[in-house]
Amino acid sequence: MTPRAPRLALRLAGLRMPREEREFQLGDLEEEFATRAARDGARAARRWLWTQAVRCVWRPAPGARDAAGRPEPTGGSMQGLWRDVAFGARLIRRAPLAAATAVLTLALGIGANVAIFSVAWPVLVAPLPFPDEQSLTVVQLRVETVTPPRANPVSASDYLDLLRAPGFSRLAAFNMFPGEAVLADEGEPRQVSIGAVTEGFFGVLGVPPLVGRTFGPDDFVEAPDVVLLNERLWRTAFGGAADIVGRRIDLDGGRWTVVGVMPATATIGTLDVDAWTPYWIDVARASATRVQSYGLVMIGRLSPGTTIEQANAGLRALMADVAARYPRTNAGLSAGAVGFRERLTGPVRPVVLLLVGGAVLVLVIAGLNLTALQVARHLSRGQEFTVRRALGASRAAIVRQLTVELIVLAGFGGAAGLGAASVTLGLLARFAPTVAWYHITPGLTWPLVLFTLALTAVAGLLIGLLPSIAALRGTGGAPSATRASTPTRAAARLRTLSVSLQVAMAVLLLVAATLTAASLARVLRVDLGFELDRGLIADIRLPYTDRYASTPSRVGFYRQLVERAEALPGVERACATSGVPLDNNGNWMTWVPEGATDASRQAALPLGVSEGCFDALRIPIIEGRAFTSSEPAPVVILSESLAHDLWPDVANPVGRRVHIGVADGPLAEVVGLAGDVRSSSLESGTSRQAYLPVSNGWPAASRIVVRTTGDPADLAGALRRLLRDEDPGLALANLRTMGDIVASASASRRFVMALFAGFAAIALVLSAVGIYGVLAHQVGQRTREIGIRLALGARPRAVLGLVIGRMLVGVAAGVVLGLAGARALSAAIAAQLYGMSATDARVYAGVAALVLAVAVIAAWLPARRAAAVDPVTTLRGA
Amino acid sequence: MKHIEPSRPPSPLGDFEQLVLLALVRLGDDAYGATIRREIETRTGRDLAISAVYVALDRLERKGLVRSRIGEPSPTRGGRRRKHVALLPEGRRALAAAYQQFMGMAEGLEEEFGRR
Repeated sequence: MTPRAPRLALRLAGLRMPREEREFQLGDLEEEFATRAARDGARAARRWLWTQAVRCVWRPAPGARDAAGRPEPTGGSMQGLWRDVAFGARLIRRAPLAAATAVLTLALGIGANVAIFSVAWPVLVAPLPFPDEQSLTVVQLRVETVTPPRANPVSASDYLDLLRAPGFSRLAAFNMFPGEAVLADEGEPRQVSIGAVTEGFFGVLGVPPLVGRTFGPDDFVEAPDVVLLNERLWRTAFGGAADIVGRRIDLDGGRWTVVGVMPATATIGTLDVDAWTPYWIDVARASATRVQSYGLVMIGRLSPGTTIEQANAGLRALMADVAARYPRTNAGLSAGAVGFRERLTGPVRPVVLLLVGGAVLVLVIAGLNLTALQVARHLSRGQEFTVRRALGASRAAIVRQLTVELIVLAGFGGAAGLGAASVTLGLLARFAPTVAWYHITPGLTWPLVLFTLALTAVAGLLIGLLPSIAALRGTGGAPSATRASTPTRAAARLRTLSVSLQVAMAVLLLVAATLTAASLARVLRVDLGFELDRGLIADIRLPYTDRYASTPSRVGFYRQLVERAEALPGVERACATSGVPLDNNGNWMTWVPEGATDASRQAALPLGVSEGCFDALRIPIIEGRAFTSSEPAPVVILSESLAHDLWPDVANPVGRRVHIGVADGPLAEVVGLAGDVRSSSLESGTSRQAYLPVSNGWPAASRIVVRTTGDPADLAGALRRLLRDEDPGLALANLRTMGDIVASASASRRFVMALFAGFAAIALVLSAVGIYGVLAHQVGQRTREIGIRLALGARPRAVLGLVIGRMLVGVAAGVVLGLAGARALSAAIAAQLYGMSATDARVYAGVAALVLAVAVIAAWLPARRAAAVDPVTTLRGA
Repeated sequence: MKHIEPSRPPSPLGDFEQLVLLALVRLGDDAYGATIRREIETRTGRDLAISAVYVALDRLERKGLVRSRIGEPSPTRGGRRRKHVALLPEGRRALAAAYQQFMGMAEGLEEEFGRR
């Protein structure tokens, strides 16, 4: 069995063969390949064929020398271009180190840009996966009693009112808090997230089902039993079964009928779920009681011809009318619509633009650096150009050649950059938090590759053109022996200016990196009000099967599980909870002091906890007591700030009572005050919280928290075994440590910080290389002058000062320019900082000191060489 | 101005062209790209790209020194046809002249350069 000749090699070999001869030449290659494969083995034959292919393409261009050794007539500009490319490649081979530096420099600049654009493209440019995205809007309530007005989700009664809003052709909503359920059909039970959507939701989005149908009007009943699967779940859990529609699946012990499969693009916002169920609204009850649970996010299609301003005016008028009719619940509430892209990517746009700016700066630095490098190289090739001109080459021909040389370099740089970016893409995808309201996957897409190509070509052109024009100035005359070694004053000034600019941009990036890094450090140091360094958190979802149908059975299950977990070796404390700070989902509720009206209600997040939680999470009880294992009467523990807001004049509200929801809602007695915790984000300060005992069934326990004495990771296996012993039908999901939760809460900050730090490091290194390069070149050219100075009695130290001095002036100018730029742009970065000013004097001073120190070191090395010049040798050599 | 047709002097053979013509003499009826390439490679130790052979053949054919003939496709060539090449009398004369010149100049220098 003879191996086949590699087709790619044949195709490559055929690239430059004359079309009418390609058949014969390739036939020869394949024939000989077979002979060689039989004689030397397939491997050797393949190597031979590849060598042939490369040589068939990379042979000395027809324009240079033909096989017989004679110059051939040039055959038009394409051949000339090819000759320039070949010449450029040869130069690279001759000076590999210089070329490697240039390629690396460009690769860093281009790589940084490609990586950032892989994120920026989907956020800023790429079309959303929804048709006619211009008309797609998100409708939210506006709380006008605070400044600036705050956007708020919609309640069921508001939703019913808003459906009548003018200017919209269709409106629908989804529940912003997805639920969880155990899918117990296929293999291991697994926990899946379930979103709920109102009628017509997918129609408003404009996403058709992959398989089957979406929900119809008949599906919206009090106890719905139909479900739509996300493509993701369909593929992973059901292997993409074709007969999925109509199948009955087991969710939380209930039987649900699959009516269809939706593409993964139908996931927006917190609706990034595994499956969807119909969201049923009890119209009569919602209208009568004005349900005060705000958990719906509305989306709407504008009617054709309606602008978003007109729609907003309509919404305002509608909500003013609603507020007049229901002042108790709707006073101070309005509504507004924002464009879909604005809502999806608006919050991250400033960050992304900032990062794009950073990446562009890196590319500009790389460009300046290369330009300086090229100026130096061209100057030392002055002689060559003069000879070429004398032999009749036009200026344009030389400029073209130089530019093509650069584009060859840039090509390599671009390829390396693309390679570097594809490596970092993996990291970006891992670090890129849920940067937007819908799912973004950074990736190497076609637009991105084209973008890289364009960037490469432009970079090559710009970097190539300027220095070659500078180098060609005055090469029209006779070849002169001295011109090659004498830099023009203008060129020297150009190089110092380029160093100043590089330094300025490096300073800018360093300031940004330092500010974001310091902010991250501050965020990670904030006192969260709770602490769980050694601990595990896991979700355990109880299905509504017979065993867990009643509240006491569910409470009992968790109580027993916690007891057994506490008996495990290495466990200090365990508890059951509905959520932990920074990682909870649930509707905020309002709370009204006993005897007060709805006007004095306060919003706070209710959290169900078992008695061990304050201990396990180290949340201090400031007044009163913690919960006990059984609380027969309705009791509540309030966070300090909530208690203060409810009873501003009462020092110790323990013993008072509070209504849950509205002034005629159920009452609970305050038995304790807990310390404030940061519950919704690391940065946004403490949030008001109300703790209720899970033993009363609401809010129900869904997680277990375990505080360990040793490494929490060691306990994961024991917890799994424990749960399997309790009930093998249950799943231990999302096992995580508090460190994981803090990390994910700070992920986007970390992401920005890491990118800026990377950019700044590249910028600093490139600037140092630039300074070194300029000085090394200058010292090389001024050897004679320095020799004479030394011979005339100048001290080496004075020479050192002479060489470094002017460069440091340039660097200092760059530092000043960079700091001024940082100050001017401080507003742009201020929003990304935490607990510090964007013009922090210590940061500015530190960056300036660092840059100056690096500059001195970069300048020192060539300057030392200058001071060590032996005057006798130099003078004799001249 | 009267246009003057330049008289074409017989162009001398390049050294690579000579190698190709010599290979044609040696190969006789079996001469085509692959065999020529291999013949030159094994006899001179010169590592050649197939395309270089065709560039030379093309030029020799335009000079009227060789002629080519298209063969039948064969499976070992991936179904591609072969281009057989044969020396023309003019080519044989040019090669003989080059050979005579070379040998004339080389005569008596064997001591200096050695024999293979």
